[in-house]
Amino acid sequence: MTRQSFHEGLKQLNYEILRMASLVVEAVDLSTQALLTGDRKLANSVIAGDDDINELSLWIEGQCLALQARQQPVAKDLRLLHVCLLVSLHLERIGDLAVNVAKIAKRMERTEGAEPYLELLRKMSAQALEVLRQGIKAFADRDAEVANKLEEIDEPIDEMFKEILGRLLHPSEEDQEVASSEWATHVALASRYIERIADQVVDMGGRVAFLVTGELDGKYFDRPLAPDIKNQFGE
Amino acid sequence: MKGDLNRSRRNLTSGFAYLLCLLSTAIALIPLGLILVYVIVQGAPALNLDFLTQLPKPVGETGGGMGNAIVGSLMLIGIAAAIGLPIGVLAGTYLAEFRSPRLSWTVRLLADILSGVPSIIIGVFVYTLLVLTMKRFSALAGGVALAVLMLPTVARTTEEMLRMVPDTLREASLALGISRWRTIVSIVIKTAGGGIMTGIMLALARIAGETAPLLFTALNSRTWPTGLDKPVASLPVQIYTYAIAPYADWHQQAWAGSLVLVLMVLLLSVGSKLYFGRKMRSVR
Amino acid sequence: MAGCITTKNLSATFGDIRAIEGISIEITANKVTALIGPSGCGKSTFLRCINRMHELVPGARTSGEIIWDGRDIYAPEVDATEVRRGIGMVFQRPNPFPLMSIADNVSAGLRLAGMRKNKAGIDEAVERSLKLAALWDEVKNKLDKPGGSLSGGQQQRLCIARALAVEPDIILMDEPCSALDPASTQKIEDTMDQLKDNYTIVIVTHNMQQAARVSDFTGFLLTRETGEPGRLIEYGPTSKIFTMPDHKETENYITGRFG
Repeated sequence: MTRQSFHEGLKQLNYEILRMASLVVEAVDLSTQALLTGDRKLANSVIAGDDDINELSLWIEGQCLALQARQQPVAKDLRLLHVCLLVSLHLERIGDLAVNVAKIAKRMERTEGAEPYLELLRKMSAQALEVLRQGIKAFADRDAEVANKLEEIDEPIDEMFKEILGRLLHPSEEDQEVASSEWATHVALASRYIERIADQVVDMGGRVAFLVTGELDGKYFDRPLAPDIKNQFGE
Repeated sequence: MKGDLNRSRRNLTSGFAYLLCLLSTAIALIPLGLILVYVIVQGAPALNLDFLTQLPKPVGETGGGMGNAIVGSLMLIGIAAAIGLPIGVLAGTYLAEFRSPRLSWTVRLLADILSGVPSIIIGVFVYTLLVLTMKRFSALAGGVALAVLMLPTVARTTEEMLRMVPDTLREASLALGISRWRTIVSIVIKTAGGGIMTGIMLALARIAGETAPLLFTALNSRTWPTGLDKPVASLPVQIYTYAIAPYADWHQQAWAGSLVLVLMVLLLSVGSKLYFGRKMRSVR
Repeated sequence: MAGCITTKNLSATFGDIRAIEGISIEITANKVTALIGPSGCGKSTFLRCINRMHELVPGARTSGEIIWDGRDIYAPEVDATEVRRGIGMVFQRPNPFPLMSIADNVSAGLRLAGMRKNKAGIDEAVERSLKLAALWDEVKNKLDKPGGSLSGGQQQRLCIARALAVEPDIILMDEPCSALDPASTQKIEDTMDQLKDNYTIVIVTHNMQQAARVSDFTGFLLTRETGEPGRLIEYGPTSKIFTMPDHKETENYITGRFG
């Protein structure tokens, strides 16, 4: 394999990641819609569509491996391959979480007093989609600034998740019945999945920032291990 | 078809060229073979222990030998080597190792001119320089003449042999913190030693057969050598003297002398090639 | 520290040709520093300036400073021979002395550089150096055999042992593996790794993967245009250079997007 075809290979890798990303965005979008509307057909399409995402993820992993093995990439090529592998892993996880959401959408029955929760889930979903879109944009544009902002726009999602959980754990008088139902478990899980989706994107953003700056968590990547790590568990 | 034709023509040309080279080589070797055979055939009958150890007998007496000429020749070669080798080797070392472009060029040119000067002229030169000033023919004068004669050969051979020593060895040595002169003496000259020795032997072999410069310098003698400042006999001059004399007996002796001389030269050149040549190969 | 070399604004010329210009670099003691760059960028010239081998070429000059052990090695009172004894060199092609035995090759520096040692001292130094160069086990039973009888990779380790015998602070290696097969290369690289505990190593290499493997610091030299002298473009920790170089030119070179 020549250097020329190596660079072609990197381009294709980048393209397939973006293709996978758009599938994942669609999966998240449709699964949350299904959750909010109870559309089972929609939910089924998300579950079926996950195969493509998994397939792409495996192809990307294999491609990263092959290019590293044969081309000894360095500098930005090395960072790109490293980051592609991790991004595809994050995207694949997000896809799985979307499937989880879709499965809940299929099981969740409509119930009385659900409206405030559904409203929160709607907001969460919209925000999670935004986080995901921004994360992908950061990767596509190699934009560290956007990548670093992800954590910030993820915050409202965490807040809403805590609110849902809080309301279910400590229900007010009129929420009593809802909170104790099977439905409540579904809501708790769905909100948890959506929150996890956004978290995955935030982590992915950290990799994208590394791709651009060479820093992990704001520090030079090749650094000594902090000496106090062992002791944190009280050794 | 055309390819075949071309190929057969190529083969023909190649075969023809090969034959031509073979033939030329054979022609070049024929004189050498003839000389060797002829000298052996003519010289061997008169070659005996007496010939190697006895003084020449006066005209009319049979027997006797060229013992004094053999010793004289060795003596002359010894003197020439003692003078010519150090100077020649050092000059060659200078040319190869201390390259000041201007001076080296001049020295090299002079050496080449000197090696082209007919040996008889060198004889005349040494005659003027030593024989006239010392007012006598002497072994020393003969030795000096031969030394001058071998000087350019030794210098140029040394230079060429030193140049064949790869620079990487010089660098290896210098990079160890070994000084320049130590590098030249212990590494470069040692490495090229085999080649230099071969060159020296060839130069000695060449001067061993020189006659012309000795006619004016060492002259000849009918006795054993007695000192550096006395005339001394030598094989080539003795052969020359005997060969132009009108006595069949002397002619016989001249042939034997020729055989001894040829054997000496062969021994020097072939022997050194075999011995040092092998040593040199291990360098590369 | 003894193994530390600092160059300040170092330039070198061959006659009218400027080979390198304005190179300032701090080489860390007891580390391996690799110099990479395309052919003709002056990395070998730079290396040869460090132990004053550059000046052996007729018409070659240097300017600027090289500070070793607190003094400028180009100062008039400094003897080049002494510098070379403290800063050894291993060359591209293995160059053992052909007429010397393995043991004599190793002890050549001790014997010929006027470092008086008795027989026992020399034998001890030969063994120690050959062990350091990871060659002892392979040659201990044939120390009197000629150096040329060894394989290429062994010859190169013999040359490393020879350089080590005079106990230098620093060892310069000018593409030491470019004439060797991968297995021998591997051995030399392992040797380098062992040596850096006690020596400072500067290696010039064409092989970027080798630089990435063996070195702690990497310098990238480049001739920007034909006829221009080579300059130091970037210098830093090797993992930084090979993951996140600061300069576009470095990145283009190491990723093969060159020219």
